[in-house]
Amino acid sequence: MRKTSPPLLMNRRRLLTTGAVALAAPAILPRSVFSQTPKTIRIGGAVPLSGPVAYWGHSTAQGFGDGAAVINAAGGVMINGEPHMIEVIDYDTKGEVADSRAATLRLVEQDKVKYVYSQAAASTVGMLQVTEPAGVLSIVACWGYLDLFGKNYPLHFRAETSDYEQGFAYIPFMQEKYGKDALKTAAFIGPNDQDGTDCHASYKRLMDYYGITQKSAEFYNWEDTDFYPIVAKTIADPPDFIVTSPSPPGITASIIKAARELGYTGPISSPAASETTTILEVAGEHADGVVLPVTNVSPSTDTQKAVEKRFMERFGTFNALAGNYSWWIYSLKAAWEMAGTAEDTKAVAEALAQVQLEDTYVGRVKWGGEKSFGVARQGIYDCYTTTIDKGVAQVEDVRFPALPDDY
Amino acid sequence: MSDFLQMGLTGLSLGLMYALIAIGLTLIFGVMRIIQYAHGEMFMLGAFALYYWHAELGLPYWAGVAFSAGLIFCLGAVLQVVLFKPLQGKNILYSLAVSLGLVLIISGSGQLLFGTTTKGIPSAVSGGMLIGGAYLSYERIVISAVSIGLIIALWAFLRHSVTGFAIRAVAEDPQTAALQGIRTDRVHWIAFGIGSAMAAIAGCMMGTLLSIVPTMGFLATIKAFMIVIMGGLGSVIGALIGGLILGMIDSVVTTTISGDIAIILSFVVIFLILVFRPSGLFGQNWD
Amino acid sequence: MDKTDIIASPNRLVWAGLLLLALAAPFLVGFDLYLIHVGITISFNVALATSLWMIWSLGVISFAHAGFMGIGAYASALVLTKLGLSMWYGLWIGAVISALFAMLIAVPLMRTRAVYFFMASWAVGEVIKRNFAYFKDFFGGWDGVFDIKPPVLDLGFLQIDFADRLAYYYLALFFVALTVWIIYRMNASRTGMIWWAIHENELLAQHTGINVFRQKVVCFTIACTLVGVTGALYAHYQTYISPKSFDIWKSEFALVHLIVGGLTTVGGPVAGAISLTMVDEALRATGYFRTIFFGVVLIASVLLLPGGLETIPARIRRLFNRKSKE
Repeated sequence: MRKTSPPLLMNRRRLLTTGAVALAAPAILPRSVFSQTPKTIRIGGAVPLSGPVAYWGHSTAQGFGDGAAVINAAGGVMINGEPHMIEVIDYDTKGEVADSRAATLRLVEQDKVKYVYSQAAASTVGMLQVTEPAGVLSIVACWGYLDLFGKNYPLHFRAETSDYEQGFAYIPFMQEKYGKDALKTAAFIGPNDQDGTDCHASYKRLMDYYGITQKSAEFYNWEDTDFYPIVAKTIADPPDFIVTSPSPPGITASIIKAARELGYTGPISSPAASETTTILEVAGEHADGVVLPVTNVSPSTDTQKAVEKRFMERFGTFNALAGNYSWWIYSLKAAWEMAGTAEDTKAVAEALAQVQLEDTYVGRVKWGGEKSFGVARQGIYDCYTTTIDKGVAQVEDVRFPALPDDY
Repeated sequence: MSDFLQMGLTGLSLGLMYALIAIGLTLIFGVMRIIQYAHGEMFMLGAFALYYWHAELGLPYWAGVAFSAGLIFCLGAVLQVVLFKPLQGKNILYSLAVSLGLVLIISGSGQLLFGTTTKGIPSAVSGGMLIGGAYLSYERIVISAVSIGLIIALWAFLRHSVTGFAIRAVAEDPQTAALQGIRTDRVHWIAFGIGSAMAAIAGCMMGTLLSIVPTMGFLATIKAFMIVIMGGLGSVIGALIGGLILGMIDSVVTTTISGDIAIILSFVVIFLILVFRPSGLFGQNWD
Repeated sequence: MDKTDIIASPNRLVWAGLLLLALAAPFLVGFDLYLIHVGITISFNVALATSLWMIWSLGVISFAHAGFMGIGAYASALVLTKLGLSMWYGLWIGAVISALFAMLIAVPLMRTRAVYFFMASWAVGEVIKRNFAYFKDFFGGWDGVFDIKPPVLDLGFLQIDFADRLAYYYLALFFVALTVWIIYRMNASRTGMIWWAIHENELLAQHTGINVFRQKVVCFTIACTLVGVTGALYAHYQTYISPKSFDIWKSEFALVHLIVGGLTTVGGPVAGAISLTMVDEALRATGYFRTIFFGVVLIASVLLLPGGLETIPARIRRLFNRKSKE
């Protein structure tokens, strides 16, 4: 027993000495000695890490944490032949606008970050107040708030394919699966806040494009616990299918369950609910006929399997959502290398819009939307559509959204 | 006609569920005169206890409900002794603050321990029946029956058992009760435990019907307070009536008009009840 | 509530020191823009907590407080976006609308007492918030109001653009100091004594000839006016507001500041708001622990430091007295 402790102490002491020397060294030695140490690029995260939407924030942060470790281990980002290491700093926003603004201010002003990522509408709105005037490039997952996107925000990228672009993949798929004539009318159920209204707007554009009549649109409160009333109202005049964008998995599952119990049998598509296990657990045998776009429940390619394996090792969990966000950092890396700079965010933004990745967790990725928004800042990628049938969820379709010419 | 029946049935089952959450809260307030803002967190922990018992370990459902109730009873009793006992007799604000702290700690640690993904508890029963064109699932019937059963059991317990008498005596006048030889400390932790266990059972029921996340407690707290305030703090019947009123507003107004109006209307109703009956529908006048 | 030794002690020196420190703070932090932002946040929280404390002097806590902050904020924001009038008008219009609405709502609200008051006021706060969301065309719905520009002060010889953060810091500091000063003076006046009399025993106060109902309405209205001004300042600093900015959590955190700081003097909410805003900021990088740790601080301060931060000077004094006796 006595013999085990001294080495430990020695170890700690040695560690302390080494640490102290390492800390003191830059002060004593001339700078040129350190010219070999690689430069760093800082990426800041202004994401909800606590509160009700922490799930989304952690999923996004995991993508950056994992990506930075992988890139650094492989020698970093090569800009003009010089390796740069990536450092990721995450700050909590609680999913609130004002708090997100504060987090972004801290990233930009104290940590001198030139690249910020964010998640969900509230955090994005707060972040954008800071990043765009400061010339900081931002990359986010945010649907709706289209006033805050496009030409006037040239440094602002929306990496997550929104419910609108997804529609050009999953509606053709559903038309093939169920037959065009079986899907003539649709209804919408969403939350009564801005997310719900924005998603309703893009849903309407989609339905108009495909010539589908909208029967009703119902909005629930986030405080609602039971969805019987809202579903009963929706299916009073039954539509051919129901869209529940952007309801999270738990609420989607409750809506599905209520709809099936009240006798509705048509397909229900949910562009935001990526947790198939939740839907299966909650809705049980009622979950049949559910269509979940951009949900890859079974990684099939080598890249996808590698992502799943690394996330499990690093974070102990993996979900399809985190997988969907894992490519963002690689597109930034490609942009830095293409632009030959990490300092000039305008040049990086121009380069980033050109970046195309062939093999990511979500398959092929590119940036689009020139005609709709004036700039190519919207991420578009392969849509992995999962369906639930007889209590089993599986990827039934993979296709790149067939966007209209004027997109 | 069947539309109205559906609305009525939905409102009834919803109201009974709400009442189940609220009844524990009203008991805790009635006996201790403290605000237990973390009541919803007990609801959440109860649901997660059942989740790990039934969905993860695969043990029987109803035994899991009993296990969850027992576990949360103990947790509630411990919390009462450790945190709320020192606040006895102080301003009600302090209990509000401590329980608010509990909300932050429990929901935050819940996210850390249980993960942030939404989970579901597989139901014990499935299927349903049509009554005059309106659908009623067996699951909802079971939940309503559990609610009614527990409310009656609690009522009978308070009426007819010795401990129930002691609880009512302490609620009526703690000092006189103590003079009569009632151990008020014991009554306090028992009542707190029972109240928390009721929340846990409600969590098991609602968690099975809907889905569970570590942050779901806050919504339950909001609903519970809305009901308890409507019915009058400390009144079991009040909680039942309040739950039914809220359930009916949620069902009927959401179906006929919209969800926005339903929630605004429920707050307006609460406000009006308090203005015209400043102690709620069945409440006593606390100061 | 024991307030024999605290309420009477003249703490002018401490107040002057605090004000000086606040004035010098930007210089002390080397004009770090982010820390100045934290300073502005602290100012808003101090104003919110102290005006809530003013309602507390009646013996109740209003959960509609964030809602009235929202009324001030929305009024001022809409005056700018719809009428094109700058904050110098919006501030006062916001205050007046807050005051009118507070007076109107206080008449029925003050019928409720003790714990029922919390809940009735909470219902008021929720209805305010939800009306902002429901009337989309007028208030902008959940989307909120964007582009609420900070004002420019034109003195003829000097132009101050409050888009500059340092300038806004001093503007916020001016108003928060004014708010605290007004509340301090009101509290020390005869009216303040009447409010504390109502706090201690409403029935007795009534029997000594105090028009309890009128006093309650007056106090509530003044507090809501002050928080309405804070709301207007908040809106023009954040440049964006939505109904979610004024939900129950804002009132609850103001209450937490109050309880951790102390309930018997105006120094309590000031100390609580300053210290807890800093703690919250320091914990930003810790994810879940931000909420968990906040909860621990709250419980610990209630159980281990009864009376809050404001009792620390007295505790230290007592400690020294005991030592000198030994």
